[in-house]
Amino acid sequence: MRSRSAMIKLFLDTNILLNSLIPDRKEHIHCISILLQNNIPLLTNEYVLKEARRILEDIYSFNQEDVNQYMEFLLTKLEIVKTPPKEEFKTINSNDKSDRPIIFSAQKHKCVLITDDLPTKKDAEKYVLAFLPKEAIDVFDIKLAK
Amino acid sequence: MENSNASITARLTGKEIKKIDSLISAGLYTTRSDFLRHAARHLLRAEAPEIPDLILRLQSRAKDKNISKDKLLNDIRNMRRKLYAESFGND
Repeated sequence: MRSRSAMIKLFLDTNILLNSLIPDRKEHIHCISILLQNNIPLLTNEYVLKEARRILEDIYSFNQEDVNQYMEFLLTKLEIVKTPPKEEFKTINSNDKSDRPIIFSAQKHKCVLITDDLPTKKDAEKYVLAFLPKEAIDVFDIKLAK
Repeated sequence: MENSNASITARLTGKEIKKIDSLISAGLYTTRSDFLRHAARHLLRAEAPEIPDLILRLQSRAKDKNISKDKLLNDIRNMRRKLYAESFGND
């Protein structure tokens, strides 16, 4: 597995970072398992991280200290890359233009995109390999978290 | 998040470097930096045992707020469009 980790990198969409917080185990177990595994490098970009923070703070009004701690936790698990400039990601053709910075970053950094959003996955598949979290668990043989 | 990535310099003994290089030669890591990233993340995880409690606490709050997977996906979509407009305009 480790030798394979030298080749494969997973780019995580916002929903993967936040699904871990859904209380229902069957809804969060795949995302948590991807986040907690140690064998495959994980990436995301600043755009995704900013989105995650805004959802927790502005939409759900979670405790600020908890949000900060969760974001710190994510920083220990993920490599964060810059949000691409518009001139670069405008080559991406997606139904929802707001997905373009994510699909482009996954492509630029030669990652497999992991997303739980089917329309995003469908658009991304024109440019990169993309999997739902459950598919990623099976394909990369990731052990489920307890 | 402007400072989310930064480089650091580490001084190791020749023996340690030799061991790291042998792991790279064996294909377990791509570069010395790749090895050090794995090592740092491993130690950070060991030093953060409170994380499972944090996730459980946040899951409990999410339950109080009736946050379902569908609601979360929908909220992310709306926030993504808003952030895109703020960052890149509405073309």
